[in-house]
This record gives sequence, structure tokens and C-alpha cells, in this order.
Amino acid sequence: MISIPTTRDDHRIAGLAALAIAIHWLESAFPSPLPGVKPGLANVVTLVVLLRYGWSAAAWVTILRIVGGSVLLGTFLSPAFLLSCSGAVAALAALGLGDRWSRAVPSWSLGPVGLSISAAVAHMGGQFYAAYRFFVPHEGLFHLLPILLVVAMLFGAVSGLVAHAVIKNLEISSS
Amino acid sequence: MRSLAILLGACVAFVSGCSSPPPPFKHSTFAMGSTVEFTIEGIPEADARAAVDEAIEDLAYLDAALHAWHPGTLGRINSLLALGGKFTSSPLVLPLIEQTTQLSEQSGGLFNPALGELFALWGFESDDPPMGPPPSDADIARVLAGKPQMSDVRIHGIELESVNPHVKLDFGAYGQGYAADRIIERFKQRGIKNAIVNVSGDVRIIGQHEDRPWRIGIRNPRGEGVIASVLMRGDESLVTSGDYERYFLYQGKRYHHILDPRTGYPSRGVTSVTVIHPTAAVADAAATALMIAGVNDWQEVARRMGVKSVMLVDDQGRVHMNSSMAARVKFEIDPAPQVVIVDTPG
Amino acid sequence: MSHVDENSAQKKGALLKRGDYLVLLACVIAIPLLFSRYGVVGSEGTQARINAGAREFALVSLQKNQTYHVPGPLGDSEIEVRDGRIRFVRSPCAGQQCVHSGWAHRGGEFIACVPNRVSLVVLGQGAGGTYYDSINF
Repeated sequence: MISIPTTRDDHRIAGLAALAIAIHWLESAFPSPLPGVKPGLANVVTLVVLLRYGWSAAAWVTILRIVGGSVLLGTFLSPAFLLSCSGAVAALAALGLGDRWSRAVPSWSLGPVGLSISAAVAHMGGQFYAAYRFFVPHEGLFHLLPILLVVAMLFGAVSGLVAHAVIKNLEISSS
Repeated sequence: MRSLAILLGACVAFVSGCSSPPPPFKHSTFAMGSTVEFTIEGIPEADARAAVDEAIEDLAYLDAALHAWHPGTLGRINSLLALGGKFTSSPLVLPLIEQTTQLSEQSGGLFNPALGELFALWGFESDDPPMGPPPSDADIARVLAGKPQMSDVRIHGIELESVNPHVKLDFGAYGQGYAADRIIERFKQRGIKNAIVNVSGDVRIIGQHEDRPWRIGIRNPRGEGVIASVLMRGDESLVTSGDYERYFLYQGKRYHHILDPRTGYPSRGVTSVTVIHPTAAVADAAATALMIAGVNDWQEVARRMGVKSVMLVDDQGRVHMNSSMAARVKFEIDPAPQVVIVDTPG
Repeated sequence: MSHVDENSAQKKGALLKRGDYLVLLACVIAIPLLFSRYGVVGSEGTQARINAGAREFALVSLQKNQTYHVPGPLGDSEIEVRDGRIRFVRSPCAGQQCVHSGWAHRGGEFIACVPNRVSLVVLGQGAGGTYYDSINF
């Protein structure tokens, strides 16, 4: 039997990714009001990881969540997987930018809500671009864009609020 | 949390406030032997309705006046022209005769409203399109031998005279373009800034639609729906002539209503011509002449008629246009047709 | 709440940091722009108005597959709605131009049978929701 040495960080990332996958899976069990729209509560985990452990940890959790989640739901390498990847890459980019912004201009730093909204909008934008580019290159798709982005903003704000509450609780329990 | 709620509330209010401007007033009716559609924006509905009611009266008047063979102003003029000698004309028709004479000359006779007898021979001017057979070669030759020209009609003050008894005026679709122009003038006098008048497909627009230009679709001459759209703003017209508007099939052959004055038969090689020009009347005359001119000669005729933006669809489905038209046309069919862009140097 | 409290709340446990307000402001600005840019242009039609003469015969939904018989001076024009589109199936007129026009589905598309005085126009969603403001034919 081969054993790969693992660090404490690896365990933590794996655990958090498992949590994210569980949330993702639970969410997919509920019917969605609009195709392609999900509350994205799994993003709460990403957000908490970002704020506590930094961007690269958040990126790892996201990648594990997408690959692991799609294997679990049987959508690995399917169109849904491609959409989800495009969204995730865009969201991670937005989080990375937000993180650097907060460091560069601490007096105007972003909290969970701002980060979460940016990430959700970027996620939707990335997914939308992939959908338009690869699946439905039809002008009519653009009519959905405003409503999808507004929904993304709202769900992003909700995820941000939840992440804020989670971080507060973590701070209390760890202090 | 409260500030968040206020911000989101503001978003919702802003959006709902922005996305519900008053809809344009639209009305469609049948007049001048075809469909007529009015679109008016930016004035109270009651005022728009009054403007449309007045326009419908104007159309009924113009239709009665300009009908080539019904008893009416033009019908009377035609019977008097055939007699020879001077007679007093209705002032309404004089400007039409002056302008069509000029356009006919510029088009090298391809647009020739003096050929009413030829149009009557084919029967396309009646309300029920003919079923065929086409007229005999002998009848067509007889009508063409009369060589009726617009220049045969002389204007002396308010008096008219024809030096050729074979002249019979039929303004045809030019009259519909003229009607669209007249209605827009009346709309402007009423203070209407944004409107579309569409008389049998002759579209004249003023202003715009909210903060964007009007978008006008051009019918696909073969196949379904719309071939392309053009954005229009300000004060201009879009007119399309096509072989699909009025035609009959006889023994598998298609005979359409745009007649070549040189042969007496329907024009060949082009299925539709679209022209953008300030006035619909000139655009209509040009579309007719360019359809007859065909894919080789249209640029020269367009130049002489002072028409800048032209698009032709030939019988192979290829689109020919100049660059000023190409800059404005957006194809709405997939795949887009094959396009030939040609510009006369200078 | 005193001024000092508010300041310290801003730094640590506050729900919204100053940067978050920037994001929310961007959202508030972006939403109406998005709607005005993409919300109403190019809409697929949702309804069609069928006119007989100068009168409205019916306002029909394009979501409901159905056939309509519209009386005119020459007889009945048969109009069919299927899968969000509408067309003339049969017409008592000689030219059959209306039938050859085929399907219409985009807001503002217009088909008419002039001899039988029956016309239809596709209506888009919401105010000004027509793709074509008029059709050149």
C-alpha cells in the first residue's frame, strides 16, 4: 500500500471540499426556479476558506468541489460540468481580484457580502459566456442576462450574509 | 442589514421605473389597395388617435384621387389626356406629374408611369390579381408602339396637355410612397416627433423609438420571414419592391407586376430591391427602376436618380449592395446570404 | 449608538465594510443598464393580434397551439399557432402571398392577406418589446 504524506492543510482543504460537495449535492436535490440558477450555498464554504486561509486554499476547495461534485452527481465532463467550470474560474478570478483589492486599499476593503456578490456575478457571467459561446449561440439568450445577473446578485448577497454569520461563529468558538 | 434592504429596494424601484415607458400607439388598416400601419410615439394616445383618423381620411382622398382607372381625379385626367388639347388639372396631381416626369427621365425611362395602358393590359392594377394567361405578344407590341413617355405630358400653369394620345398615367406604388410622405408631413405639423407610416411596405419614419433607432425588417423575397433589418433614425424612408408582391403563375412560369418598359414583360434577374432615401415616393420610383435595371446597370441608374443606399437580391439569392447600404443592413437569416459589395468610383 | 462604536464596528465585526458599499453601488448602477440594453430588445413574440378589416379579431397567445378561422370578404382565412410561431395555413385569396410568407415569431413581424383583409402582427413582451418596429415588404 502506497501512502502519500499529507499535511494538516491538506486535511483541512479536503474536509472543507467535502462539506462544499455535500451542500452542492443537497442543493441539486431541490427543484430550481430558473434553469441554471441555484442559490450556490456551497460558495459559502469557498468564501469562509478565502477569508480564513487565503485565495489558493479557496481555489483548491473549489476545484475539488467541482470535480468531486460532478463525479458524485454523474455530470463529470458533461455540458453542465463545462458550464460549472467556466463559472468557477470566473468566480475565483473575481475573488482573487477582490482579495488583492482589499490588501491594496485596506480602508475600502471588501467584506463577505461584497466578495460574495462579485463572485456570484462573475460566476453567472462566466457560465453565461460559456453557454452562449458553446451551446446556444442565439441572440435571444441575452434577454435572460439581466434577470440572471440580478438573481446572482441577490443569491450572492444571501451567501455573503451566511458566510458572515459563519465566520463570526468560528471566531467566537476559536477564541 | 437595513442599508442593504434600502439599496436593494432602490434597485427594484429604479428598474421598474426604467423598463415601463408608455408603449407606442399602433394602428393598422386597409387603404390604397393594401395594408397601412401607423406607429406614433411620445404623445398622448388621444392625440395619436386623432392624427391617425385624419391620416385615414387623407388616404381615402388620395386613393380616390390617384386611382388610374376608377372615376376620380386621375381617371378624369387620363380620359382628357387621351383627347388631346389643354384642360385644367386638379392642383393635387400637378406636383406628382412634375416629380414623376423628372424621375422617369433620370431613370432613363425604366420608371415610366405614362405606361398605364401596359399595366392595364397585364391587369396587375386591379384589386384581384390576374390568374393568367399573360397578354399576347401582339397586344404588348401594340401598346409599346405608342411610345408613351412622361415628357409627352406638358404643364402650362395649371393646365395639362398630352402630345401623345397613348399616354395613360398610373403612378402605381409611387402613389403609396407619396401617401406615406404626405402623412408624415401632416404628423410633423401636428408636432409629432416619432412615428412610422407604412403604406403597403413603403416605410417612412421620423424620430426614433425611445432611446434607440427604429428597427425595420425587410421581407425575405424567397423563403420565410425577414431577410435583414435596418436601423433608422431622423427622417428617412425604406422601400422594397419585389417580384413576390403581386404575381401570377401560368404554366409553371412566374409573371410579376414590375414591368420592363423596354420589353413589356416582367423584369428579370432581380427578386427584390431595397432603397433608403429621404422620401418614400422617390425611394419607390427608384426601387422600381433599379429592379428593371438589373444586377449590371443598377449603380448607374441609382446615381442618376440621386439614390445613395441600395440593396438588390438576385434570382440566385445573392445580395448586391453598395457600401453605404452594407453599413446599415443586418442580416436576420442564418446562414447569411452571399453578398457582393460594389461601389461606383467617385 | 455612539460615534466611536460605529467606527470600531466598521473595522471588525460589521456586516458591511466600506468596499461592500462600492459593490452594491455598482450593482445599483448596472441593473438598469442591463435591462435597458438587453431586457427589451430582440424579444421573441409572446402574442399575436389578428385583425379582420380595421378591427381586431383576436389577441392570441403563441404558447397555445391552436387554429383560428378568421372571416373576410372572400371567406375564412385559416391561421395556425404552433410552438411559439404563427402563420397563414389557408387563404381564400388568389395570390396566396400570406401563405407563402410562412411563419412569423419575432415581435413586430407582420403578415397580411390584402384581398381578404386579414392581417396579423406578432407582439413582443412588455412595452416596446417588439424586435421589428415595422416590416418593409
